[in-house]
Amino acid sequence: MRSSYSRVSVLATWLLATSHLGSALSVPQVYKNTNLLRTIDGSKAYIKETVAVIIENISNKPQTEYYLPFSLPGSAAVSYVECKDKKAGTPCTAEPLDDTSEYPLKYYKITLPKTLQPKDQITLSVSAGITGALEPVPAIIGQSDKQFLSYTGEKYAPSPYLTEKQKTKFRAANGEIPEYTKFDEKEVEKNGYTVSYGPYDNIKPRKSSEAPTTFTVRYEFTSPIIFMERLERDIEVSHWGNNLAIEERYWMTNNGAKLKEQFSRVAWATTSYYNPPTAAIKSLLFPLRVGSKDAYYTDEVGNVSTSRFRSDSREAVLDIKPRFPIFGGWNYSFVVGWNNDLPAYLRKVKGDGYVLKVPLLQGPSQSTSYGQVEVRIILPEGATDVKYDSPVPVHKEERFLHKTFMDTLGRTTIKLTIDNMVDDLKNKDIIVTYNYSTMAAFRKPLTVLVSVFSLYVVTTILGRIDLSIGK
Amino acid sequence: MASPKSQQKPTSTLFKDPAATESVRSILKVLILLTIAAAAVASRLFSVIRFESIIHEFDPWFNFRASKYLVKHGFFDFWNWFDDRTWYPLGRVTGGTLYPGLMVTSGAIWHFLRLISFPVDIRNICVLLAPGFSGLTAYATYLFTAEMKDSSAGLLAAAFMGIAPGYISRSVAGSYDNEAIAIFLLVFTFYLWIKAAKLGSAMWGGLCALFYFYMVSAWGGYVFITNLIPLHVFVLILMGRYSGRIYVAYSSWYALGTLASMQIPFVGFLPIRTSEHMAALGIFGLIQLVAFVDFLRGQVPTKQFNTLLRAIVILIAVVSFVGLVTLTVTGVIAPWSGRFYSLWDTGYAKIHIPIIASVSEHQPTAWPSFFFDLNFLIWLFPAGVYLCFRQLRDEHVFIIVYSVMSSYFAGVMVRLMLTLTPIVCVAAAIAVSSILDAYLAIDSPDDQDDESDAKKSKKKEPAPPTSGSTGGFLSSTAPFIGIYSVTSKAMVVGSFTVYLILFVLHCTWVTSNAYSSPSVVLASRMPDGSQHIIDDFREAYYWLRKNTAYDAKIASWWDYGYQIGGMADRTTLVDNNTWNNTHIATVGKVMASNEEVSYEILRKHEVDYVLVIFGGLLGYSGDDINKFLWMVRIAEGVWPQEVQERKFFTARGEYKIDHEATDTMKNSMMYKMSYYKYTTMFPPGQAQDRVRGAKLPAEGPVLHTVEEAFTSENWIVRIYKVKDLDEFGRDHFSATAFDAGKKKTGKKGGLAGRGSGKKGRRLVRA
Repeated sequence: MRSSYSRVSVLATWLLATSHLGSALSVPQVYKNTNLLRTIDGSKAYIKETVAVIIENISNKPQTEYYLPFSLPGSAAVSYVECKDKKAGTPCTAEPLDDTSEYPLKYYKITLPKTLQPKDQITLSVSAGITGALEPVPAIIGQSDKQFLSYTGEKYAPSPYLTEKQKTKFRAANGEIPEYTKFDEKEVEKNGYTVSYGPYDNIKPRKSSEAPTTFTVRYEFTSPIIFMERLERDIEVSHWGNNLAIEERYWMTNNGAKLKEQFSRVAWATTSYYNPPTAAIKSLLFPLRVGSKDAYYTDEVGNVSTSRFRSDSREAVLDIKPRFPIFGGWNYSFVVGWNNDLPAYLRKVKGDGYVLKVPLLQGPSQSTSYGQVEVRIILPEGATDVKYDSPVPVHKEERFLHKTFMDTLGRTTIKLTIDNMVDDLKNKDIIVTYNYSTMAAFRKPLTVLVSVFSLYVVTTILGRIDLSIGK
Repeated sequence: MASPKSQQKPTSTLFKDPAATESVRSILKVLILLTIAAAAVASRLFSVIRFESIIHEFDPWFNFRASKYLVKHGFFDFWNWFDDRTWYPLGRVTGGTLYPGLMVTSGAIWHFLRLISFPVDIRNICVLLAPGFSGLTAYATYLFTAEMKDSSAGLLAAAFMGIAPGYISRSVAGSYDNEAIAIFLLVFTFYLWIKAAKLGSAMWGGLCALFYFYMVSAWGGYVFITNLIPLHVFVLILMGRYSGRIYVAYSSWYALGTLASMQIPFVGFLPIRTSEHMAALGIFGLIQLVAFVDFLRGQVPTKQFNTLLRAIVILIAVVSFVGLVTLTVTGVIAPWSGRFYSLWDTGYAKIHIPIIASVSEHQPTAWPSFFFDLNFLIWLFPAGVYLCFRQLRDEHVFIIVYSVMSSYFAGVMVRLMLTLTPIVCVAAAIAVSSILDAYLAIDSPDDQDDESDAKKSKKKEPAPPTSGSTGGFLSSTAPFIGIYSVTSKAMVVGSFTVYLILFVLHCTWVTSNAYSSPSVVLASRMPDGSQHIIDDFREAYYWLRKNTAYDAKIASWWDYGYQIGGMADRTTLVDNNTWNNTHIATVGKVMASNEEVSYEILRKHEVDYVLVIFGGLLGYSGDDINKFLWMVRIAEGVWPQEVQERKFFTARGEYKIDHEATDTMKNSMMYKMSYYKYTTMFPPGQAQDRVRGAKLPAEGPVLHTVEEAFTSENWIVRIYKVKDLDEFGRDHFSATAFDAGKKKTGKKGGLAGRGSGKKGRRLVRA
């Protein structure tokens, strides 16, 4: 069903692209945006764009669906979209449209939390995490130079509806904003960390044939741009061990400005004496759930001794230092892992049923974006009827048996692949339910018992065989 | 070390039923052997507990890499492995130039554990292989010694072997080298040989050949067996002890073992083409002749005929010897290799093959190290050999021959201490066990006047005279049991208990302090006493692995070749498999020459990075400046006109790196790369090299053709990138001069010379 739909849409896109028909998406003009405030947060390793908008139904029928586009130039991509009724706080769903004819706009269909009657108004707050929209300018810097990022966005918040009043705010990492587009207008204002554009009145929706007016902000960014190209996260449940083991394998790179010259240890040693802010990754801090224990930090060549782990009744923190500082364009890969007591995460429901509730993504406290996240949930051998409820849409799901220590069949495993995540999605719990019978639980000790016993029998028999030829 | 005492217990308490005694004994034996094996394994785990489960040193990194390759690609790919990531641009036919026994063993264990669903990581198998096999070695030593004397001596020998530092030095966890399994194979092959020679059994001879084959596949030291067994046979024949048993044992071992050994590609036709193997072949021919003569002697009783036969035998022996010499001279049989010459003449390597002499483990052994590695065993060793002379059965001849040969070799080369250790343990165990037999055996018969007790003591009595009949005081024990005897017993037994306890303490101390450092990771103490790990090697190797192109070529001194291949996974020019002296000399020339010469060589070899080890900041003495003279010597061996050792010494013949250093020294790549920018870490004029204890010139060296790419935290590893050709076609000297001129007018580098604040750290070295 879904694939045929997408095939149709691809065909439609192709037809539209060849016939230059312009706007392919015909959004019914049933709303107007009474007031729109767009906030673009550039203080993280990715862009967080929040649109707060008061919409009014101007048609004469009740409406439930509202369309909102995000501008995604170049390699930018939306990681997640969250939506809620700002006043009531009730969440609503935002669903991406496969249509690509409006490039660089990416449309989302928002199902309103309640049906909007004609002339009624509602305030929506839609926020999106957008990766790949920031670019270091200059692209190469000296080892102790400041790093600047550049962001380019549309001057008027894109919308398929008439916007009566709108304003855009860009929030930088600090007050150091050497360049921003000024448009020789009075509406541009720099105030501390923010640059604001607007208010602008009665902006009509832009035709897709028109080039958008853009603004660019270049601002200082003193932290590294941490990007995990890939994260493999294993969550392993052991009923016998009463343990929840988590291991994470990271392939990390720094997307910040690259080094102009080669790395100089003298300069690094002398400057790090004063511990100034740097665009290199010096350490990562993993805030873990309370009660985490036995943390370890290794990489492909063995244990890394430069880590500290602190766990008490209030918090558990794993502080790791990579083997070398990671400058822009440099790579590093590592493994961290820890254990948790299972009862805090697992609950038994009626019969043989169990409910597991674990965070889908943890990761470092520094602002981070993730290229591809693979979460493997390894349940005990013999677990059946596995269902899950993910807080984040899953792009690919695989189920297989994972065979490891003392397994005869292999452990029931689900592997969830999620592309393009950001750290805003951290610490959201995934709920997994499964059945695990007592018989299955006794499979392991029985296997061990039987194999030890048969070994004993075999050695006894072998010991009694007389192989000598003559006496 | 409770083994001798617990061994004695059943003789005095459980004697009523011989069968029960026997079963209790065997259970005790199994328990003791298991305890010994556990002690052997446990004492080798210091490094895993202190550091981590990591591969040590240099050569093990290659073995580890090869094992990973085997596990990943399967046996046949491993067999045909051509490695294009070493010896660039030559590459190495790895599958045909290594001893595959070690890798195949760990690969087999890996597959077996997977089969019983224990998917252990190959690294952990490699790390723990040596300790695991040391338990087996202890068992093999037990079997071997039990053949020589009895099982109580066997248990003692097993205990000695399990914890003797001479063996531990090569078999701690992580020391994943050929010796890890080879010593077990050595001892076990000898056990099988003794068994075969004793029984004259073709089956034991065949088993011996099988394990000989395993040994050949595992270690180049198999030549020791190849020569020792024929020597044993030869000595027996000379002693007039030829027998059918010897004939069967030797013929079956030699025929099967040689054919089997030729299946290893690296060995191939060596057993019939090289001098090292000729002794075995000659003895094989000789024993056929002797057997023939023996046969004829049985048939023809005439004395004259015997004389004639003897003449024929001598004639054939002389003719075949002359033939052998001729074949050697004409080159059909390869003459002795350089390493073997250096066994006879310790000065040979230094003059002719500096590359062998440059390895520290090929140096002659210092006297204290015998005591260090063997403790009280070394003075019991002659006693044990003497006791063998007393009995002098065929197998005792083997011990004598073995001890003479290995004592010599251990004196010539530090490394061969390893082959001496088993025989020292065996001989010392025979000595200790004889002493304990004499002083501990009959301790209570007179206290209890039991009928059976008296019988027992009578039954026991014939045993001691064999070992102690000369001691008059022993023969008088039966009639005069009194204070005199008890005190002497107590004295002797007590002092030996003290020796044994001291031995255990010594072994533990040596293992813990001398042999348990991975050398990849260094440990130091912080001012507050806590341990601080200096991990510069892995820091730099990991940087190479993650941040250079996969096909980047790294030039470094050959010591680090295997580590770069294993940890950084990058192509190297030379490595620890020193098969091509010229290629190593090329790298030596790069390091010893000035920049123009070196740059040309580096470009020709497509080198991307040059890696040097520099210990000046930390006081790490095993660095490249200290090894530099060997690089010079090896390069001089190939290019005597271009590199001259004399030019690196001052007029007074001193090796200096401070302001007195010669111009050749100061202009060499090695000097420049080691001290580049080093002086800027210190206040002006205060730069100091902590290894050489020398103050450096205020002006540091300038580099034109390479640029610093990475330096590890404590400066131990420094990596330089070889510059591309200049964009404007200038040579690098004018280019850097031009850049420097421009920079003078511009901003100055803001590198205030400040101490690094690491002065508090001190290296802890063994």
